[in-house]
Amino acid sequence: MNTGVQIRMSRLFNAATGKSVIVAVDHGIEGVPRGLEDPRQKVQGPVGRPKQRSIDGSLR
Amino acid sequence: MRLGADAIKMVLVFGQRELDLYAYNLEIVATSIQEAHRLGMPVMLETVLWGITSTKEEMASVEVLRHMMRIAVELGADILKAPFVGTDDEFAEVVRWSPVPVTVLGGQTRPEFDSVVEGARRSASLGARGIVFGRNVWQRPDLAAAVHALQAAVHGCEH
Repeated sequence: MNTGVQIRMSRLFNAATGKSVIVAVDHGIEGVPRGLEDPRQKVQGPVGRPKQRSIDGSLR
Repeated sequence: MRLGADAIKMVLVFGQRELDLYAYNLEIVATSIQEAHRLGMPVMLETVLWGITSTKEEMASVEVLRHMMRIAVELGADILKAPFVGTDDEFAEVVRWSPVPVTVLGGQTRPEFDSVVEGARRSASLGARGIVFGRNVWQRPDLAAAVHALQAAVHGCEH
């Protein structure tokens, strides 16, 4: 595994537990699903910017 | 990368009738992984039985899942995203077998959130390295509470 991959993998998995909670802000195969009409607003609510970022581009 | 992504995620579709399409999917995934690795970007690969020839039996088969995961690993996947299939022991064995971290998908939104949290805890306790849940989180009325409950379940398990 190269250095860049290692660094980015370490951002995805919690160093203490080795585990990851990823919220996939997408479900593209069925159009715009209920709850994701405005994905930006959805993730700017009480959760704020998550420490472990979603890897999905729709957040951007 | 300019947007700050930490990984990319791709889908490997099995069960397609048209083998040319399957071959094209394999090629796209393989070349994308090579390019991502050249840039230092990890790739999560989700193996899915979305093809028209897929059967319910195959979707519930540990052997089929393992076969798909093996192909994904050989293509260079850094993380696998998979359904929870089989008994607890069977699933734990598949997770132990995998040379790369296995995360578990959420699937359709379940009415009872407690069962979602319990599924996350169970997966993590059996060795899964995490969860990748979408609809089961952002289709809840309280997104923050859902995320916090899942974090507690996954990071709090003893495996």
